[in-house]
Amino acid sequence: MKKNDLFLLLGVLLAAFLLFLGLRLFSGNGEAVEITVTGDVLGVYPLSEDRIIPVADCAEVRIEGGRVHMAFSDCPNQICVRHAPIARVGQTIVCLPNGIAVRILGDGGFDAVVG
Amino acid sequence: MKNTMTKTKKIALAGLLAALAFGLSYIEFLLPFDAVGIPGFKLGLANLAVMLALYRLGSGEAAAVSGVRLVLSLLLFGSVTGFLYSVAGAVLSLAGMIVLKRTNRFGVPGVSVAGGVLHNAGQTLCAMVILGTAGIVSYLPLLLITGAVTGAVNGGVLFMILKRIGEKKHE
Repeated sequence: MKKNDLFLLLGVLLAAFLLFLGLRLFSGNGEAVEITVTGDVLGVYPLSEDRIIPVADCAEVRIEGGRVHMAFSDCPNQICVRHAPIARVGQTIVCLPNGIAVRILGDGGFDAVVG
Repeated sequence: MKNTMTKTKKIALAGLLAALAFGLSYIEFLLPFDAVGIPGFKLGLANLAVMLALYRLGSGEAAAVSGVRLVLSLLLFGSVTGFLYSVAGAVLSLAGMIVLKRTNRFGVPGVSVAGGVLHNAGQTLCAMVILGTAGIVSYLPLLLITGAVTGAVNGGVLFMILKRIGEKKHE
């Protein structure tokens, strides 16, 4: 056991905390949600209207009251389904087994995709 | 007691550690840690065996133990995509541990912390590439913390083990 071990541990924890703060600080409430399946954009939908979006026969994303959650997925671990609803820019729910990523976009989210 | 090992002894020990690593993976597979609610949370028990190989045998043997474990896990209870994440995590983790150990500035716990953190970082990077979205970075802070904590716990355990069986002496 060396002193450096402790520094390393504290350093990593600090870095994680700062990263968390940084991600949090720069993210306001989102405008739209982008759904991708293994990198291909399936669609971008506004958060302002409630919607049920089936994803590739294996999952279902729901927009409810400006927040997005994975309502259903046929994946074995169900981590994505248990993930809390997201609404802030940059927040993402992923389903690794199905390769689905659900990500909140901010202003210009539509432009970024359409333009 | 002399601590030099014949080649046969080394190979035998490496095989034993590979079996141990695989057994530990299997134990983790049986335990539903997903229920903790942190995506991708793992105790990283198999790293105990990999690190034992690293400290008792050397970098090459540690890589072999890790590789054998990965392939066995794939064959028995893995999926191909899962395998890619595992490889990304294992490679980055082991590379980092070897480098950190070589600097001689860190003890077993520190090397283990780096291993845990880099394993999770590697998997996150792999997910970013495969899913083609940078948004997954929002999972990173939590995974860095769990990697550091589980790494520290494993490192503490390994520190006690190595204190009793001794580290590798010069050959």
